[in-house]
Order: sequence, then structure tokens, then C-alpha cells
Amino acid sequence: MAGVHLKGIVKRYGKGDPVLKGIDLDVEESEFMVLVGPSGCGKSTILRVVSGLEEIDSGEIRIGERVVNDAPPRERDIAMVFQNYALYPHLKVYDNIAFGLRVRKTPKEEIDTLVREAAELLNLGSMLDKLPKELSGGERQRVALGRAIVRKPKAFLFDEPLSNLDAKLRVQMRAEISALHQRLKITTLYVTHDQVEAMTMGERITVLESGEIQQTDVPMGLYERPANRFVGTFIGSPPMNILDARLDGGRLAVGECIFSAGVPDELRNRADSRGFLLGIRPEHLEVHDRPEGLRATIDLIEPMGGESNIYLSTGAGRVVATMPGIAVRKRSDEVFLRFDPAAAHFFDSRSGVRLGEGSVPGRSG
Amino acid sequence: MTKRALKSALRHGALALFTLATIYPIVQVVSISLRPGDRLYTTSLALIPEGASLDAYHAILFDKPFLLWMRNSLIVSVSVTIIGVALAATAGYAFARFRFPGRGAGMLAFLVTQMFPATMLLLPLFLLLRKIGLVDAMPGLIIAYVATALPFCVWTMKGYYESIPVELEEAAMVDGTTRVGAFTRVTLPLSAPALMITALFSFMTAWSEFMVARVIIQKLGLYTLPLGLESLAGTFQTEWANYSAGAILVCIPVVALFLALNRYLVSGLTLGGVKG
Ligand SMILES: Nc1ncnc2c1ncn2[C@@H]1O[C@H](COP(=O)(O)OP(=O)(O)OP(=O)(O)O)[C@@H](O)[C@H]1O
Ligand SMILES: [Mg+2]
Repeated sequence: MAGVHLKGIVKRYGKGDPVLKGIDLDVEESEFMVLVGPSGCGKSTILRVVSGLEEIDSGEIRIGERVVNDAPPRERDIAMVFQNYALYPHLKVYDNIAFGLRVRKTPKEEIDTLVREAAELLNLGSMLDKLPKELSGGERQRVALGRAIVRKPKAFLFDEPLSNLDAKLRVQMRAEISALHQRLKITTLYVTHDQVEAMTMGERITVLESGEIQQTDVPMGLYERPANRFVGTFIGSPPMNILDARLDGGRLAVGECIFSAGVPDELRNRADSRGFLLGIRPEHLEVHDRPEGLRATIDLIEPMGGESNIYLSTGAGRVVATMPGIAVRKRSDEVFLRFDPAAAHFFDSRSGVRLGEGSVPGRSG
Repeated sequence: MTKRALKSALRHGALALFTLATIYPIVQVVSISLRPGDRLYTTSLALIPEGASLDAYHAILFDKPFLLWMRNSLIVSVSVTIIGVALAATAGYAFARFRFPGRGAGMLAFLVTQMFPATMLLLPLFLLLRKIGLVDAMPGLIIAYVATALPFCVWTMKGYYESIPVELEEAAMVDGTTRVGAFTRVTLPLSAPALMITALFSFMTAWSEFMVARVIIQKLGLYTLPLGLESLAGTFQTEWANYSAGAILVCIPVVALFLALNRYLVSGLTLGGVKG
């Protein structure tokens, strides 16, 4: 086992703009690192670069102690699970799992022991004689996992392994993969575009956008201190609301509403009255009837069971609020929105970079 | 009769007609080969003629150098098959998986050669072979046939490879194979139907070809089956029964091959359109 370390990775396809624009990423030994980002941001490319399927234009890739920039995939001793499983259609489950061992000339008896061990672990015992096409999606996924773990590689790479499964199976496999990692402690780089998957599975999460790393942190770190507007809105569901805000006589103002409390020093020190962005998560928005805070009109209510998402229009833009229970209000109701500025995030309106958060000492009511 | 039944009857009627048209000459040849003497024309409609005998088969097998022709044809056809499949399997792979200068031009060139009738290529082919001293030699004939069969075979293989997800090879390489290993362990076994088509096509190209052989081969000892059969049709007199018997014998291996590969052929011919 070994850590995976990327330093200044630049990757171009053809002559265009680089797809990866200088990636620095450290996956520590035994760590479960999730790589998350929107479609086309370069997640798969990072995995392909680490696995050696794609060459890099500059930078350094290290697996354990070894710099593998020029090593072909077979010498990197990593395992990869593909989105569409990529099981060998002409081989039975047993042979699919044994493939990597056979290629590496492992003795026959040892292969048999290892394959059966892996099958046991993944509940594949009864399927060893089947062909991939005779399996369900979840079973195929497990075979792909089996093929990866049986070799005890230095690191696992997963490329959206659950995206072809239905919702229920996805939740189940999510737990299975996490449990597997708990057990085997193999260094893992797991790609997904699903932020729920990222939050629930990752020990640490790296958020990627347009070929650049936006932030790497533990899940709650990303949630509570997003480094920029992109991370703020990408992590969390429904996404964080972003509103135009400004300073009015030193006080925080959003739309027609002026708050009395809690503006971080970084903001107060900005001499100009240039606007900035205020981010507030749906669960921190309080919908009520007293004429206090932002005036809003309800556009849509989505009952989610335990809670409801309420979509509203305000003078400062459209927002969504999450309320526990079933909402008693209905469409077109006039309401007011209140929030604790201490729970708010502030971003530069041009660069989107984090400016600070609601003044923590004054975090009250 | 319902409309559907009528439609079905019409369809089957048309198909039966075509089948008949295809089968009739063959039945005739069988019938002639069984006739005693060399009666080409007869008023009898009987399939198995009066006094049917296998004399013609005996004659062609043992009185004529039929077995020599058969041996020559087998050597040529099997060589063409092996060389053709090997070249098509690898060239098709390169065209399917790699981007290199001349790729588009190469594929196009292959396609263009298919548009000329083979007879048009005969002269340049002959001149080329004479330059390298392979006229009137088996390797020359083999080279000519491989060259004729290759374009179709390469296109077939390329199309088939493109229907195989690249991820399978990538998975194999991450699993520890070289690129060549991924090709031989994963891509080739999955390409069995296309390989069969390619093999059969190469074999057929060589087995039943006459024109090219006529031009390249002169030595009697190098005659292939089509050349040998044609030699039975003498200038003044043709031994029709022997000729027919020979034709039937020539067909048998091909029919056997088709029957054996039937399963692959059907799946192979419908391939390419379906991914996955
Ligand atoms: N072989 C290729 N040739 C040219 N461009 C490519 C190639 N592969 C990927 N790209 C481009 O690189 C960018 C990143 O692709 P990548 O597959 O890494 O995205 P991703 O984050 O995995 O997206 P998704 O979530 O949709 O899988 C995309 O803009 C894509 O168009
Ligand atoms: Mg991807």
C-alpha cells in the first residue's frame, strides 16, 4: 500500500487548452479520497493519468516512493473500477477476477485461494461460473470490485462506479464500498459527480472544476468553510443560496433588508461600498410571517417527507429554504425570510473567493 | 385468407422462387455428374438419371490429377487464410485504435481498390509479380490472393474492433498486461465472429478463383482446382460428367466450412451495428 501524490500535473488533449491545469493532490496511505466535480471538469482524466492510461504534459506522479511518470499501467500496481464495469465478456466471473493474477503469473493454487477469498468477501460465491451478461448491475459491480481487490494493489481508483445503478442499489453499494475500505484500508481515489456520495463516503474530498482543484478538506470542512462560491454551491443539497449583498453604513444589507449584527472584519475593512456575495444554506433560512427580514413570495413547495424545500422569490434574487416537516404554506403566499448572519458565508463578487464568515464571536440567536 | 396470411404467402412464394433459381443449376450439375457417358443434354427430367453411376467420381479422383489440384488449392487457400487473417487482424486493430498520419488515406485506399474489377488489377499485379520473379510460383499466387482479399478483411476487422469498448483493453492493461497482451487476451477472443468472416472470405477468395490463377500459373504441376477443372473442358470435346463430378467435389469443402461456421457467420454479419 502507498500514498498517491500528484504535483503540478498538466494534461492536454491535442493542442487545445489543458484539461488539467496544474493539479496538486495528495492521497495519503490508506486514505479514502473522493474527487468530485461537475461533468467534464477532468475527474476521469486524473484517474487515467494516475493509472498510466494517459500521459502527462508536465508534473510528477508518485505512487508510494516511486515516481511513475513514465511507467506503463502494468508497472504501477493499481486497480481501477470503471463506470461501465469493463468486465471481460468472454470470461466467467471466476476468470474475470483471476485475470490480473494470471497475467502476473501467480501460482494456480494461490489464485484459487485469493479468488475464493475475494468472492466470499463480496458475496459472489454462487456466481463464479456465470458470464458477466448473466449478472445484474449490482452483481457486475461487485465482480468489478472483486477484480480490483483480489490483487491487493497499492491503490484503488474508482470512476463513478455507482452511476449505472438504481437509487436503492446505489445506497447499498455505497455502504459496501465504505465497509470494504474500512476492512482493507487500501488507498483509494474515488471519482463521482454526486456530492451526496462524496459527503457520505469521503474521508477527505477534493472539489475539482475546469481542471483546477478548488478545495481539499474533510467533508464537514467543505460544508462549513467552502473556499469559494463554487464549492459553496456545489456541496450541499439543495445548493447554497447566493445573494448580492453590500455594506450600508458598516452594516450588512441584502435587498431592502439591513442587518444589525455580525459582519466579519475582512468585510468591514473594505473601504469601498462595492458589493459582495452572501451565501446562506437552505436550512439556515427561516420562513415566517412577521414582517422582519427579506420579503419573499413562495414559488414552489417540494415535500420531501421529513422536510420540505420551499422555493421563493425575493427582491435580492431567488432562494430555496428547507423546513422540517410538511409546509403549511402554499404557493404565492407572502412571507419573510430571516437568517443568522453568523451562519452566512461571504464571497468576493468577482473572483468568488471566500471573504470570511459571519462573525463567530457574535454568533447568537 | 386474411391480409397477413396473404402477405406471408407472397413473401414465401418469392423466396421459394429465388431458392429454386439458385438450386436448379446445382441439381443439374449433380444430375449430370451421375449420368453414364457424357450426355449433357437429355430429355429426361429425372433427377437421378437412368443407370446412374459414380463412375465419373471415380474417374476424376483416380484417372485425373484431381488430388494434385486439390493439394495445390489447399496449400494456396490455407496460406491465404492464415496470412490474410493475421494481417487483417493486426492492420484492422491499428486502424481502429490508433491515430497516425496516413490513417484516413490508408482506409480510403483500401476502399478504392474494392471499386476496380479484379480483372483491371490483373495486369499490374502480373507485372509486379514478374519483377520479383514470382510468376508461375505458388507464393506469387498467394500474394495476389492476399492482396485481393485484404481490403475487405481489414475493413471488417476494423469495424468489429470499434464495436469493442476500449475500456476492456484499458482494464486489462491496468490489470497487468502489455498492450499486446490486452490485444491477445481480450480483444482477439472477443473478435472471434469477425475473425471467422475474415478467414472464410480469404479462403473463398483463393479457393474458387480462376482468372488470376490462369494468368499467373502455367506449370501443370501448380494447377489449382479451378484451373484443373477448366482443363477438363477440352477444345474439341468436354467430359461433362467428369467435369460436373469435379465441380461437386470442389464445392464440398466449402459447403462443409459454411455449415461449420454458420453460427459465427450469422452473428458476425449482423455485427458492427450493435455496441456493447
Ligand atoms: N480523448 C480525449 N480527447 C480529447 N478531449 C478529451 C478526451 N478525453 C477527455 N477530453 C476532454 O477533457 C475534459 C475532461 O474530461 P473528463 O473525462 O476527465 O471529465 P470528467 O470530469 O470525468 O467528466 P464526467 O463526469 O462527464 O465523466 C472534457 O472537456 C473532455 O471533453
Ligand atoms: Mg468521467
